[in-house]
Amino acid sequence: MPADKEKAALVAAAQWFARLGDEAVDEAERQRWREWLAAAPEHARAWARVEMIARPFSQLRSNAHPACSRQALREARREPRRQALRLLGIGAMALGGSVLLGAALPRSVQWQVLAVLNTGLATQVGEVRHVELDDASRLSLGTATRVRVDYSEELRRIVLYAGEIMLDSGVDRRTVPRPLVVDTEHGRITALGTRFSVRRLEGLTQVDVFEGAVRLAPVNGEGTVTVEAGESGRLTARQAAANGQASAARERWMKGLLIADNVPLGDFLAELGRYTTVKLEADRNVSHLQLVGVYRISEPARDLPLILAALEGSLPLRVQMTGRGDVRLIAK
Amino acid sequence: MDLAVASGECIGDIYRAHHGWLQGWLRRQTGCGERAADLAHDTFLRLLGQREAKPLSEPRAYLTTVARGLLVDFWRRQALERAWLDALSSQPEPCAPSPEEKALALEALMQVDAMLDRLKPRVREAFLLSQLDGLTYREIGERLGVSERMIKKYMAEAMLNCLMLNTDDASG
Repeated sequence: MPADKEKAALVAAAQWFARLGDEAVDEAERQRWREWLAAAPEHARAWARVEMIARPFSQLRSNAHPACSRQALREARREPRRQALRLLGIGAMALGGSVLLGAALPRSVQWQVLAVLNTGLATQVGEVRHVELDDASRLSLGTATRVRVDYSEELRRIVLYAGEIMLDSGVDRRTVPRPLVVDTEHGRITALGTRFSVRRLEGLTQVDVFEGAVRLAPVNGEGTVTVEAGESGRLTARQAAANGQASAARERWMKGLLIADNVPLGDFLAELGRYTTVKLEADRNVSHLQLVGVYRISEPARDLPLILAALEGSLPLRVQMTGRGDVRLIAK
Repeated sequence: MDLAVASGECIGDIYRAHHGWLQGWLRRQTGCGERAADLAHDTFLRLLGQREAKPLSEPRAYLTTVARGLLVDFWRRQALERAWLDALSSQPEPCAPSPEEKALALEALMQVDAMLDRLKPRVREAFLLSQLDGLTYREIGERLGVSERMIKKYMAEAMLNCLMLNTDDASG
């Protein structure tokens, strides 16, 4: 504890801080504060501390969006420290013990009702988020995804900037129902009463349809293509085209499941890599191994080690951590 | 001088014997190799920051205690970052902060969050409304349903709390 004199100075400084922050403070009061400040070295020291404490606040205030900072401080508080402790406990047993991956069942999805009509939404690497929109359309955001929900009088529009979404379109209850569309830089996908996923890839947008149908229209090209349930399509800026069967994996990520339906290990790792910042690599002599399995990836920090352990168990390979903490899969 | 050298050597031994193990432990906690490396590094920095070199009878227990504290901070920072980015993206005009802006804002958020941790919710809210949103005492009083005088008391209480907290840190 500080000496009594220092402590008294701190108490006084806190009171001056409160008085000076009052909009009703007058010049006479300010003058008294200056006199107090000059009266003793410990007063000046105490005031320097007050300024030090006020500094991060003024920094946040000048940081363009003070309301966002306040919201963040409040929201982050709701996510209690317990969560961190829980993760610590679970993390400690991650690689040991038995792993029941075959039994990974889809957990029921928690839909968060979107209170605001038009907004940007984003997920971080490894995060999946589910929101219910104004028209009861259900929108799931995959890992590292950015969208904007933009509903107007004429159009229900969702813009996909990055990542992957699954959309289960609701029925517009307006007298003149508005079309529901997803826009990417490659073109427009119009829902025709349907459930479908849209994923942004390098140079193209992939669409997998599970119910109903959608219409694809390239941004700079002629001609549209209709993709029916069970089919998939691709959209580049110039062209829309059908692209074979819809992929089950594109349907299941929203339930926190990663599906390997007889795919090469290398491809599976690329998919898994979208959920983590850990670099995952397979040696050339194992990357061609075919993999069949269903893996849970709802909490990547917890599930990633489990998945790697399961790969070790089911394929002739070994998981190796590099010095930098990256993961390499090598032949056993 | 002697002390520093002794402490450096002592830590060097601990580092050689336990660094790999600690990093592995942290990797399992975070699921991320890069973070584990950073946190292990920070753990040893903390150790170097100790004024006295005391021989550790249970080095691993000690290291995990220090590392656990850093991990809690790390999760906290993640929660703040996520909440902050969420708040930003729900702005009428979504904006992507530059890495520098983001780092500065998060640093400030962490400091503020730590300082306000022990305040009563009303005092905390009053302090935030004043210091972040720049509301006047009257506006805050109206919002919280108390008098301006009470707000002034809250402000002094909040500031004193922060001041004492920092003092404890410095002397302890």
